[in-house]
Parts: sequence; structure tokens; C-alpha cells
Amino acid sequence: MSIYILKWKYWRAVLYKHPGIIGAFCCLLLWFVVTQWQLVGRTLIASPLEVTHVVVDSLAGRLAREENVFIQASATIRRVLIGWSLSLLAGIIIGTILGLASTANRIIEPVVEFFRSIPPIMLFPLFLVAFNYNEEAYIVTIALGCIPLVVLTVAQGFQQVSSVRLEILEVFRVTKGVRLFAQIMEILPSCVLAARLAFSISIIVTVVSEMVFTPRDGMALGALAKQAEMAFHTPILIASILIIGLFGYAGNLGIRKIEERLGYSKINGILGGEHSTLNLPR
Amino acid sequence: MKTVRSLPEEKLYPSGLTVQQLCAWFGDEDDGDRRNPIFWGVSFDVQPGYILGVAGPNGAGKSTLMRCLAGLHQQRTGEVKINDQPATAQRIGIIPQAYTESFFPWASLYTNITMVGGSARSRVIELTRSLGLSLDLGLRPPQCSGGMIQQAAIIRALASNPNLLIADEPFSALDVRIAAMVRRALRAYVKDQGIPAIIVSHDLLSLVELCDMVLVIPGIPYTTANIEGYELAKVIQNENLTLHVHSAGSNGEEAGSFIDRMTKLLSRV
Repeated sequence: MSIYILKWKYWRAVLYKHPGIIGAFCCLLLWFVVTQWQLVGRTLIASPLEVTHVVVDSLAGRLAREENVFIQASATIRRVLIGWSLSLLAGIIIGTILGLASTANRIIEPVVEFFRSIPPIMLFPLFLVAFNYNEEAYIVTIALGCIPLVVLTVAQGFQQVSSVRLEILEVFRVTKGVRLFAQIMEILPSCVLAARLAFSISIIVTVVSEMVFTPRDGMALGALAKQAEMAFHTPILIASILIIGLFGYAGNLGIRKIEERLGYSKINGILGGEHSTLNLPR
Repeated sequence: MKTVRSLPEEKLYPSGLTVQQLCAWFGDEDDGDRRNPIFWGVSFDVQPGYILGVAGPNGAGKSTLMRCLAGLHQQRTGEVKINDQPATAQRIGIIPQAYTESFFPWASLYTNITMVGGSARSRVIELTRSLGLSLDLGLRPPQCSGGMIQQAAIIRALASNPNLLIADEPFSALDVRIAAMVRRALRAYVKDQGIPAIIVSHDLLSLVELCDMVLVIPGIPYTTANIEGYELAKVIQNENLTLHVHSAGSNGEEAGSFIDRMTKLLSRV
């Protein structure tokens, strides 16, 4: 196996399967060239080697808690995940209500649209005061930043459910439970889409709010990046950017994998649709 | 002591489908928008165990008639009763024209049938066998051909144990051999269960083979003047089939040629 990895045939197969590696490698190469030949000042972009040092030192625990990118990132990731989960929970519930009740939709939609056009970071100072500069201010800002998007995506999913299929449910006089189940299954792709969109927004809102106001415990990747920028400590700044970028990429990839795993074929199996015995011989 | 309970009269003598003065129109008006009629004053009965075919040129309103019977077309007046009860309170098995879109893509054919039809697995298998179909019901609609989905749509309609069977172009995607087999099986099912059935088709031969009577709807021009003349014009009857021809006062040439072709087919039968 170890010898096989060294062969060009293996790498050709890997690159054919994951062509994104080529793009990432090109970016790394460009970064290396720019810093090696000092095409941009050292104070603006740190070299890959310097950034690697910061990452390795953070992993090894050689950096203080205030400068350790991984310790700081863990707090940021926790905020992102809590805020994102809350926004999904509330957004899907509200979106479902709006999607099923057209009157409620007409009443609430203007309010949702109004809040969607407000940048969440503008509400952040309000929440800071309301929650006495505590952790809750960050969570509420993230959640409220994502909720309108999730609500609208899910409600729109209901509107796009095929009218022919809804009519079939009506004609065959299915129970309300079956009807609701079928509609929820129909909007599942919209829910996953909303989750992906909300995930990206929650990362942006978290980092920006951390840059605006450092949390009381001082644990925030956004705050660390801002301090590093002010102190011209670019290796830490770029390491912070890379970590948050990788987290966002991994999160999106994870949601896509969940989408594939929970895809229609699996759901079908859960519902008892895969009956080989139903393949009747003539 | 044993008590002998008598069945309700309508159960003993089901009266089938009764349609009285059914009118349908386009638009949002609630009460008979005569400016945009689709069809006007259609009345007919279908006895239990009988199959009514509906024929007519494109745009005559055949599919809208089916939608009216199923309670899906809201812009309508008139009365639709099944076994003397309002149609809305009865089980209706429908094979829609847009059969592909009528199936949930995330569920297998089997799940689609049982979820909507509410039948047990054994009933689905029995129906599939009785129709003479060979179908992998574990497949999902995106994995199936149009013909396979149409076969599943037929099974779904029958699996719901309907009081009325409505089929809009039910054989359009089936090959000749399977279509003939399903026609025979459908006819046997309707006769056996004693339910009224209505089948829309452009395939006149299949209507002649399958139906006990045929209602021909000519396309009416969308003018108010023609509505009053829209009535049952003639009934052509032969040994095998009764042809009810609904006619507008000035029905187009298309409808005329349609009736001619139908009459010729009847004479051949």
C-alpha cells in the first residue's frame, strides 16, 4: 500500500476523483511564491512556513491561551454551532407554519422580509446591552441573523410542492398526518439548502460580532484575528483565517454528506419501500 | 339471541354515479362565469359495474370533467353524487393524466401506493398479480419508465377500494400488449366490485373495447350564445355500446368528424 501511494497512477486516480485538490495546491503554490519572492510586504502576508509554526505551536500547547488559535477557534465554533442549531430549529418550525397556513404567511412574511434586510451585526449592540454583555448576546445575534433566511427558504419549499401530488392526497382522502408527513418529506431538500446557507451566514455573523466586541472570557477567534491584525502579527491572523475557512468547508461538506446519507433512497428504506419480494415474476 | 341487522338501502342497491347539470368555467368567479365556459349542463348516470368512456377533441373539457368529479375543479356548479351521497364523502380512485408527477419521488412505488391508497401489502401484491403486471415496486419513480409509473398509478387507484374509479388516459404510456391486458383486467375489476368507472381516452378503439357507453364532448366555442344549445343531442346504441353525444348548437367540424369516426368504429364492432 505504502509503495502504491508513491505511484503516479494512484495520484492520477485521486486527482480525477477530487479535482479540488489541484485548485487548493495552486493557491498554496501562489502563496508560497508571493511570500518567497516578497512580491507583497512581509507585514501583510506571512509565509506558509510561519503560519505552519503557529499552527504546530498551538497544537503542541506552546502558545499561551490568548494566542492559541485552536483554543480560541473552539469557542467560536461552539457559538456557531449553537446559534446555527437554534436558527434551524426555530426557522424550520416557523417556516412550516407559514408554508401550511397561507393567512399566517401573509401576516408574518413582511416582518420576516424586514428583518432579513437588516444586517444582524446592527442588532448586536442591542443584544449586548439586553444580555448584559454575556454569551447569550452572541448566540441570539447569530440565530436571528439566520432565522429569516431559513424561514423563507422552508416556506418557499412548501409553495413549490407539486400541486398534482397535493391533489392526489386530497382525492384519496388521506389523513392529516399522512398529508403533513408527505409535505415535510417534499420540503426536505429545502430544509437542507436552508441549513447550508444558514451555516455560512452563522460563521460570518459570529466572527464579525467577535471582532466588534471581545467576549468577557476573551475566547474568540474573531477577537484574536483583530488583535493580531493590530499588532501586525500576520502568522496568527492568517492561521485564524485558514482555520475558520477549513471549518466552513468541512461544515458544508458534512451537510452535503448528510444530504446524501439521508437521501431519498435511505428514507425509502426506513419507510419500508425496499421489498425485493414485490419484484413479482411474470 | 341473534339479531338480524338489515343493511342500509343504499348499500343493498347502490345507485352508482349521478351527475346533474354540471357546469364548469375558467376564472375566479364563484357563481357560473358564463363568459369562459369549459362545458355546460352535462348530465349522465353511470350504474354500478358500468364503465363510461369520455371522448372528444382536444380542449373539449374531458380532463376538467374528471377533475370536477374528483372535486378538484372549484369553478363548477351542479351535482355529483356517488351512491346517493355527495362525491366529496366517497372514496375515489383516480389515475391522473399527469401520472408521473403524481408520484412522490422520494418514496418507492410501493410506499406511494400504500401511503395514498392505505392498503395492506398483501392487497397490493394481489392487485399487481390480478392485473397481470410485472413491476418492481421497490423502485422509486425517478428510476422507473413512464409505463412502469402508469402501471403503479393503476394499482394505486384500485388499492384504495374506490367507490368510483376515474382514469384520465390510463393507457397512454403502456405498450399494446400490456394495455390490452390491463383493459381486460380493469373491466373485470369494475364488474366484479360493482363500482362505476369513467375513463377518458383519445384511443377510440380502447374505449370501444373497454366501455359500456361513451360520452362524446364536443369542444364548444367560448361564447355565451352557444351555451344554451349545449345538450344531449343523440344516443347511438348498438349491441355492445351506447354512444351519448353531447352537442353544442354550433359544434365545430372537429367534433363532427370525431363522432363519425366513433360511429364507424361502432359499426365495425
